[in-house]
Amino acid sequence: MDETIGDSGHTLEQLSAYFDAGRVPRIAAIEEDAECRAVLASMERLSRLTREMTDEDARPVDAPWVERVLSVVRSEVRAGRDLPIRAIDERTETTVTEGALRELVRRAGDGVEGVLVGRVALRLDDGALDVRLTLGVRFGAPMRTRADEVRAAVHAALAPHTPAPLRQVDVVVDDVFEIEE
Amino acid sequence: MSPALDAAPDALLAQRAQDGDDRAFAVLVRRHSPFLVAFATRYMRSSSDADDVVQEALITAWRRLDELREPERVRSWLATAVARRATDVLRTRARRDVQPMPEVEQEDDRSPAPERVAEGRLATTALREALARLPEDQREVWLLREMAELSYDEIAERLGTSPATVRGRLSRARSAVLAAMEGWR
Repeated sequence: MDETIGDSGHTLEQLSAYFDAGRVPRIAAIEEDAECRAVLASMERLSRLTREMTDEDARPVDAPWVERVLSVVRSEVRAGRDLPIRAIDERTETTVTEGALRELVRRAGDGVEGVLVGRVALRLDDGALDVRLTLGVRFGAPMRTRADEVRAAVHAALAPHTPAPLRQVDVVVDDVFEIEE
Repeated sequence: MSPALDAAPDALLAQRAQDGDDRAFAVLVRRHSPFLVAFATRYMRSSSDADDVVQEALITAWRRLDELREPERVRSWLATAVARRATDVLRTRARRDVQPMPEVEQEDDRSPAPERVAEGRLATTALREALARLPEDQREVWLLREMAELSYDEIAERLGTSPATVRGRLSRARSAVLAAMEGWR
């Protein structure tokens, strides 16, 4: 067997796994042993040094580099299902893609101050459309007010284009973020 | 004014990208590509194919976004895609090339930024050297854990091995790097 460290009765491999688990749940035999604590501190320093090395290695990519990726991405935008819009008469059919409706929802929601739309789920059920969207709210912005504003904006933007009457717009605030600038 | 998409957290951008928002994906590409290129360079021991590997991995990632389970960990997920692509390229190259790969790392021919030539730079240089001397299986696990921040299970899945094997290799890698870095405590 591998030798144990200090008086902890734990091997380096066990210490290494404990470190990667974020030192939880706490193992007293390790935390109360000075030699183990020193090894854990060394592992922590190595992780920090790796982040420094990574930062040093990172080189900004230029615009043409990014464009090579994005030109392919844009050509493959996934539109999702086609949803038929209520026909005005029997001879014509108009459809709208889920992707287009999601984009409408995102643009409408993003238009409200201090918020960004996250996920947009559309559900066509019993001849009516339900929308559920998640929202990131800038730290300090009033959540309820903003959520109500988003709901109203999405209603207004979506109603003329929906394949079925718009029944419900659910808004879930699931992220609060700071602006780093 | 709404915050610019550039200021949005990874999780939100990744969710939008999963819904097909290419603008959100573009922000993720700009934000994480410098890291991904650095990761690919280190992973492949060479910068020569790193750009191609990262660009191809990003396009594949876009096609497979529905497989992303934890949007807040999109950076690690993208690094996994880069590692997968890098492995394919290295295998192809190994089959094609008669000449063995050069032992010397090639990326250090780029001149360091002057402000970094200091104590910190010396320590990271020592770390680069210690990593370069690790056996390949340990080095790979170390980079996936410490640089890409993958879990043991994720590393095991990527390498087609068990979490217990990952745990053992990582421990041996740490032991060797700690010994090599003794003077930098």
